[in-house]
Amino acid sequence: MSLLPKVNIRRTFLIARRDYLGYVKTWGFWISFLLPFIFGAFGFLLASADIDLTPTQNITVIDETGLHADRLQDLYEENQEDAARAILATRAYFIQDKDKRAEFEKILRVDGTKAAQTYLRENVPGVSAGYKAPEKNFKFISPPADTFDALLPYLTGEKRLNVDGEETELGGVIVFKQGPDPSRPIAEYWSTNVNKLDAPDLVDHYLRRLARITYLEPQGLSVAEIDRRIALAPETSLFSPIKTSDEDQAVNKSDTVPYVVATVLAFMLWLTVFSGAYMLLTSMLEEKLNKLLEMMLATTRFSEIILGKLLGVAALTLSMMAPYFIVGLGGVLWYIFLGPADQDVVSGLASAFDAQMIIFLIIYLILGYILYGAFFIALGSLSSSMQDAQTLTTPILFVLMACVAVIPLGLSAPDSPLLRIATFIPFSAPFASIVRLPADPPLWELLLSTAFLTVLCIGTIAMAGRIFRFGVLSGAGADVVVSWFKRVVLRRKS
Amino acid sequence: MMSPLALQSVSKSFGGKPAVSDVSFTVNPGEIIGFLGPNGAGKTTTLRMALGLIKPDTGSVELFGQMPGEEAFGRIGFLPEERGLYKKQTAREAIAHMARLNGIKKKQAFILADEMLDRYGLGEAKRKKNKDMSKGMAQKVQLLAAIAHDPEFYILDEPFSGLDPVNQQVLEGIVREIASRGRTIIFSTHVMEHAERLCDRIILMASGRKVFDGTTEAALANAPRRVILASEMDGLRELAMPFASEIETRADQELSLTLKPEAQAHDLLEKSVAQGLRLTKYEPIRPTLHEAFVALVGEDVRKDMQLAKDSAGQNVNVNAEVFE
Repeated sequence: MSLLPKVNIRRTFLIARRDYLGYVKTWGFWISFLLPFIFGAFGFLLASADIDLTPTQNITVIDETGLHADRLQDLYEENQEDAARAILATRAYFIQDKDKRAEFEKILRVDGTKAAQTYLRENVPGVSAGYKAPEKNFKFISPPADTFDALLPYLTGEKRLNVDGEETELGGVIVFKQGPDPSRPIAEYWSTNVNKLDAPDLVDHYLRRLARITYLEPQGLSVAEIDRRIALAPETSLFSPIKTSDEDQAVNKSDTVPYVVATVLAFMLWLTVFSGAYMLLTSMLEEKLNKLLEMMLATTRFSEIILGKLLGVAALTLSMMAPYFIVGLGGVLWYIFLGPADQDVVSGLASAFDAQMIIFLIIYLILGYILYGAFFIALGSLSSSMQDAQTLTTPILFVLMACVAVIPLGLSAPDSPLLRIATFIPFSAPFASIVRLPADPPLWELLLSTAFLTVLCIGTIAMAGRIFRFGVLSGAGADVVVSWFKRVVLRRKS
Repeated sequence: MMSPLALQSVSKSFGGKPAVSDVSFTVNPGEIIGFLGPNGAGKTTTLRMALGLIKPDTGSVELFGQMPGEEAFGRIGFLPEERGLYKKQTAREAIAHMARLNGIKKKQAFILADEMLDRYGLGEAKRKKNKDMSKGMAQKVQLLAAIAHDPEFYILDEPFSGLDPVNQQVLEGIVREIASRGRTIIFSTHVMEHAERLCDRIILMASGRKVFDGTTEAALANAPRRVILASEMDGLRELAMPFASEIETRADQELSLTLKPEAQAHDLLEKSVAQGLRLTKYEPIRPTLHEAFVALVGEDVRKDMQLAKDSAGQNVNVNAEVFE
């Protein structure tokens, strides 16, 4: 006797096709399908239009102490410099020449942002063109009135300011008052916009720094010098003894990118399996409510209906996921071929998509979908309403949620024993195995995990077939499962 | 010619409760068989076993001389008791889809669907979605979907249930048209009048058992024979008593007699002439299949049957007005 059920390809295809077209012809499908493109286009338009999403606020300072207004503005300039440094540091990724990149990073660290920008302009103009100065969330302006009371109409919008020839509003007023001692002034922030807190955050930062200065400087220690030394502190170099591609075995992005890629792929796999299985559930429920199954069963085998549904919904799921793959792949290809690509990232991407990853990704996608799909088909055939379906699927949804929780371990602890155990549990195997792949787990572990998963898939399909038959022809529903559970598990007499 | 269906001592229980017990019958090619019985008589379970949808606990089923299975696909047109269609499909898509599952090629399936919809008065519903159709219309579309591939053997489970009298008439027309092409049909119903009008042969089921299998005339022979007599003269009751097992007074000087099994109606007529009793009314009543069924089954089943008849009563009565 063959383990695999007999199927007629033509009938299976017809059932798959009907299921596929049944969904594809709906508005909902096309909205979901086009959503990533719509969002992409919207984002692109927004970026092209250069719309300022957080308009710059005009802030003024009333300093009754005469000690803090200038220092606060100096701190603001320093923060802007730090933000520019952070942006320039990311530009380093796009310098393909390693020597130039190292030199640029050194200039940025030692000589500051202006020198770094000059270096970029003169040596790597392509990368320099992509640099955009940090946005200013607010800017300081001179007070339009001398007293706080006189400023209030500006704050409430009754009066407007003229800044650089433009009529505008006063966003907020910072007030420094005399405190218990000069190092502890009383600071107030007045504004009608209580959600935008960039200015009061700066004041808090200033007050903390003031506390440090008033403690350290009387003892002969310069806070500015401490900050400078921290910025110049050496960094740990990472090396990997198993690395063979680079002469010095130094770890760079090419070594970490595969882990990121594997994690993203595992999430995509989970999302595909989850949405596919859930669509199977609704498709099965729709089929049961349409009451056509019995008529079809005079013409087709049970196995053909189950397989047809699995294939139809698989095609549908892949169609729904296709825009995300296309957008993702397009982004990667643009980055590699048209964008100023970081060569370490490119080589990391190339090594992430090796033959082993592609083969196991396909295997786990198929097996994971069949496993969860068969479960959901069985549960769908026992349901007679969406409420029934939700009740019955809750346990399996918990399992799926637990599985998604192991995926982030692939980034933080790919050698975690939990991840290894999850590889051998068929329910979590597809996701755990994928995130472990960059760490080169032993092949036997992957094969054994695949074997376990395959065995459970066959068992689940057989069970789903029986439940399907039972649920469809006997009209059995959630109540049957509940009474079985009470009788067998809780040992209660019905 | 091979028999389309043969059941041999078939039994089926659900949870220890027998649904069908020791049922045997053979369907011969070209027959129209009415599979009759009240709700819960085991008709649907028997038909499902005939199709191989459920396996009998004991006994055997042969469909075209073989175990039910793939070999019979395409040779059977099955309309189940539970009705439904894909709501978003149009009528022609629904018919073409089932025809294609039964082996018809795509182009031919759509041509067939259009032809059938035109032929049975559903031409304007071709592109109408099933969800927008009336119940009767959807039921007809489902029947057309079941038979579009022109199978050899039709199994129709309660095809008339839920239809209004006009659509019942249309459906009877479809069944007659199929039969005229020499196809074999078995349909279940708990309303006897359809079977009486359409069938060559009937199989009566009650409480999971077969209680009768034969021609409609043979079934009717089991029904009590009744005669209505009327006379303006005295002595009518005395004349009738030796012939009757039951006498009911219907109106002034009009009696309804249920004849004893050995009594003959024409003997009664001869005796009245001999005695000089002038009859103003002598009307032998043709028994109904319902009466035959009641006579064939016990008291318990008779009550079940009455319930079924009551529940279907409105349709039956209206139907009688249309057809009789």
